[in-house]
Amino acid sequence: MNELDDALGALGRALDDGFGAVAGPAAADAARRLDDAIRDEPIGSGRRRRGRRAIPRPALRGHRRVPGLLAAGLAVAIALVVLAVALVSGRHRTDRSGAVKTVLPFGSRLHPSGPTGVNAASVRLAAVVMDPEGSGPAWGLKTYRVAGDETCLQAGREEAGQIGAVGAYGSFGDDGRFHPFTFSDVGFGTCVPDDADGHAFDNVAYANAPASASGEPCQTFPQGFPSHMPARARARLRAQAHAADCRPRNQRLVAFGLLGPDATSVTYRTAHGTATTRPHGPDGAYLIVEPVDRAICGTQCTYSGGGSGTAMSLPIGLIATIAYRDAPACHGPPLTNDGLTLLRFDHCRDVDYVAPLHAAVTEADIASPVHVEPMPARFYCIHKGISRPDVLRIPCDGRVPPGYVRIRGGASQLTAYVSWIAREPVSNVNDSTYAIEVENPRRCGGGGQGLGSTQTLVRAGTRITRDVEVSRRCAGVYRGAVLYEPSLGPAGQAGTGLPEPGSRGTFLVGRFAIVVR
Amino acid sequence: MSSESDASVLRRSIDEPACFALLFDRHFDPLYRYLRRRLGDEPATDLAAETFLQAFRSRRSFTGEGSSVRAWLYGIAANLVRLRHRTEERRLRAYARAAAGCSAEEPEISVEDRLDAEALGPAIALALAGLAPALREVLVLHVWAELSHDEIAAALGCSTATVRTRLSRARSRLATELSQSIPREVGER
Repeated sequence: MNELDDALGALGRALDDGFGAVAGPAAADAARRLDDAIRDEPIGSGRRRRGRRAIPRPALRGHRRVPGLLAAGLAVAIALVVLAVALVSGRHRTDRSGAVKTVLPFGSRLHPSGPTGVNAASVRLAAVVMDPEGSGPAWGLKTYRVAGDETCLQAGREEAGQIGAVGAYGSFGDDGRFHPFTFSDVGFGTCVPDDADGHAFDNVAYANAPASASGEPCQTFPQGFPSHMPARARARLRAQAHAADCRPRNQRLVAFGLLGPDATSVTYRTAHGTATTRPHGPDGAYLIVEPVDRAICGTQCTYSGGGSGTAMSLPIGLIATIAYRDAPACHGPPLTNDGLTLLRFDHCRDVDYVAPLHAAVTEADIASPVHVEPMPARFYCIHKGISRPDVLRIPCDGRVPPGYVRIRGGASQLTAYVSWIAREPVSNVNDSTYAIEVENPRRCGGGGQGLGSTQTLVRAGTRITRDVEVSRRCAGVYRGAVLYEPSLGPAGQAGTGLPEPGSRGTFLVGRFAIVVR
Repeated sequence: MSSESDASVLRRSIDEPACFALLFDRHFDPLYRYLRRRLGDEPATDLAAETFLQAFRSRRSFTGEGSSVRAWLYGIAANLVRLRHRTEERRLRAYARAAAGCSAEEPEISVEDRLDAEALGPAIALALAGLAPALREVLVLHVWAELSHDEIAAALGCSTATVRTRLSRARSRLATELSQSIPREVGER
């Protein structure tokens, strides 16, 4: 996999663009914050000693610290003005959430190897809130079940029960129209696996969502385009009709999630104090849209992300309390100057989350002979229309079969078919898999490499065949193994939660060897 | 620069907080560079600073048993990055779009040429964006942060075997994605 690592390395260098120009300010800013922390260290715990090196303290750039009294006065004044505007204009948040059935004309693919098919009966407009600036359509959160036992959260602007983006704030050429999302576009949302009871749990927050809800990456090139980017690419990006204008006033803090059936209320902080919203529907859906305000997100207003699993991750600083019907309330930590920096409410749990049941699997249960069939050829072909892991590449030294294309440069690789019986099913491609690993011959440097995984649903008892490639440039014995990985953990962000302590690991199905002469 | 070990400096910083500056000097730039690759300028600035703040505040909890200070710092950073994986995915996809725009008019390219690391940029960025965050985490810690398997295990609080498995799975999925996307762009008959 050296080529792959090299390519990743090159990608990293490409993403580094202009590093040298910005490392200084970043380090200076970090140093200042760290220096403050050191300065605040209690005397008794080891104050800085005379003669020790202090972290370099950069000159404040472009602004000066406002005296505390003046700052407090300003904050109160601003809060009063904002509150007055909200009251006078009648735009204060009105939650008209409710379960609304919508007609679903199709079930589109969410991603190439992911779940397909939307369960029309499951589609709910779970929450609707007004835009905090009173600008344009309301914001909405729609949830729907898809094949593969996943629930998708689709968030954005809402119009007539549809979720989408508006042609404003630079998006869609400011055409003033509503651009509905398809079910394959979840907007700011995501899809998460259901728990054993068919409920989904997730929390997502963006402190810098484009007000248009276009979902465009407005912070990708915040300092302008990378210096190495050719003019043609720059022009193309500039010409994109839906490049969101992401100046702070055109951003929103958008937080939403599914808290489970037991959640009864979510209290969150606003610029004026706190507000409470009621979760709706069987999954306890909530939606919060606020102006981007450092009073809420502190110094971390670029925060974005989602949560996962059994220890909830929530936008700290925003969520104050989550109340449950039959469980203790979850209280978020107090607002701090550090903003949205803590990641998990370790003392909060997804109430009523029921971990998917995995039957206790042993290696004896899962073991299967693994067969290997080398397919020596100078050229290999791959189907040009079907791109699935179970559609194998084939030798094609002679004529290219209809529907296939020849892979150029395949001569340096030897393809082999590896097959085995799947004793355990894969019922969720995000949650379990059969993986193939191969160890290079020792004389070639050894080291392991992954050579593929099932990435499809698998029925127990079926024979699985996958193609693997090893290098012809290094003769020797490539020793491999087929492994079953039942889960990476409980339901989480798209099924990718990190393993919880004590979670089971990987089970050996069988071993094989490929000899390259 | 002092030759005193990181662990020793960290221990000393418990009584002499200013000593922590030495760890900052040693590790800030590579950590910031790593975060910037993943998230871009602004988030990287915040997260790098936050990483050191959290490290400073929790320096008493570092046991040093079986892990390096470097791995510990990257572990803190990994926790901070975890909730920003969508930012990372957007960044990668935007890069892929931009870079693909540069090569869209290039003539037919062979697989060998495509395997040239630079040329693979858009495809691998997309593939990386499509990886599960847990797998991407391990892969970029290994390739971009150049952490060993043991260090990654220490950083993420999992076993070395788990790291190997995830690394293998990540590479496998990347390879599968690339093998599916590249051939479609080469000559057909």
